[in-house]
Amino acid sequence: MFGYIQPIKDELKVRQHNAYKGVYCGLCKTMRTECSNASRFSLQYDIATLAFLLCDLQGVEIEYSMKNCMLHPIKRRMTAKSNYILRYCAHINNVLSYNKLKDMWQDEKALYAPVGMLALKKGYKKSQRLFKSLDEDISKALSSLKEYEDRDEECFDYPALATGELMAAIADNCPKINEFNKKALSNMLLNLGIWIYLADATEDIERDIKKNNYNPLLKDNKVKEDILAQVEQVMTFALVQAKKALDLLELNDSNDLMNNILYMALPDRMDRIFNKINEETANEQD
Amino acid sequence: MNPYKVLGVDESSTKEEIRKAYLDLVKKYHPDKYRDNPLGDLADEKMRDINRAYDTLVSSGSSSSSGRSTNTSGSSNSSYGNVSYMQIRNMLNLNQINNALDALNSIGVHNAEWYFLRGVCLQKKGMYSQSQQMFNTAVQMDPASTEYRRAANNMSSSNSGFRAQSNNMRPAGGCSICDVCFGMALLDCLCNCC
Repeated sequence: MFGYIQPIKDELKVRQHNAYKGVYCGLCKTMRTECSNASRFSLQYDIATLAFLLCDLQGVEIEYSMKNCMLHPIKRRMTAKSNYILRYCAHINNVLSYNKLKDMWQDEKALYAPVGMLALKKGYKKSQRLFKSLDEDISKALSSLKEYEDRDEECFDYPALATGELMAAIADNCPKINEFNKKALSNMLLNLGIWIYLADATEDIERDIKKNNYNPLLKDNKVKEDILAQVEQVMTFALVQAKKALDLLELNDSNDLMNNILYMALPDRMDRIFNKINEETANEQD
Repeated sequence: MNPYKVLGVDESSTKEEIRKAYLDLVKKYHPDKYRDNPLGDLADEKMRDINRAYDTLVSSGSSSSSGRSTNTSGSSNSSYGNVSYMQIRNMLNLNQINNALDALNSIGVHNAEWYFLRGVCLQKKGMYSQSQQMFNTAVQMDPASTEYRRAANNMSSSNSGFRAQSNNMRPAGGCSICDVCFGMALLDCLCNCC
């Protein structure tokens, strides 16, 4: 589901990149203590982005120390010390990963899914206990997604919005956040969720045609006419709206990171997705 | 509240610098910019803080908080004279999007205004392809209305502004992104060798 929300690292200052990577390492360590050792393998960079943003927004100063870990046993790395935001983000990652595996098992009967679920189960129970409403909101959004899939919803707005609501739940359930920031952040994440769903749907077109999967951009297993231009327009507009929401948040360290993502990383990714698919359709016509 | 911090200026800034910072912020949080967005009330709140800060700093006389224009757009729909459409517009100004949608659903006859208002609701909710369709229908039914036309063109004009800024910031410029990435990857490999 994820993998999109990360900056182009060449465009970050070295200091910013180190701090961001330190948050990733800190999150990984937090996942071990908070959830389970196995859950660390599911950690996504998107969640590190979120943690970095939330720490800045909530005025939580990140403390770093040099540590090594099982993946980097020799060289010590800058690692963020755990705090309430990192713990919250660790649980977000846990809830999302567990649900993704559940989804894979239901959809594709992928054999590794129950193995992974078993490994994450204990940590997931803890996440459910600590962040009950987060888990409920995410489950609700996922079941609407499932419903749209089952009824073969033609309009891509519906599943895109459900993904947006899934993301917005992260802001809505963040501990200690004030109402103003909650509303603005929630809208920013909603728009990013819309973008993510459409990026995913466009990237998966070829696979979905082969496997005859649900995809709102397809009809009778063919790409709908003019739909790609529409999707591109909506995806860009989602970024426009996300930027407006970002402008309302008072940020310091993470402002450059978020602008990097909104203005550079996501448009870049979009260009690559659409160039690829346009080439493919051109080749088919030849 | 520290007015210098709100305006993002140093305490040693000149009046000119303060004014420039103020005007930039007014542009950033202008209510017009947030018309298609559910965060209009937050932007209003920001504007109030900015105006207050500016007034405090330039309190020598004419407090020129000129950037404010309230978001109540009632001028263009007077020709319809339909009370319930007015009420729906008010709901939208108060961000009661679901109430507005319910009210619209209760109206049987759909004119251009109906499609326009439904478009506004859907846009604020985040259903962008449907809202665009609604605005297009409103324009087809009433091509004379500038308000409808502006709403219908809003997405493509905001997008091209965003795109221009994004292209400016991105390093690749006009050439293919893939080439640049590939080049970077190669360079990275080479760097790791030595």
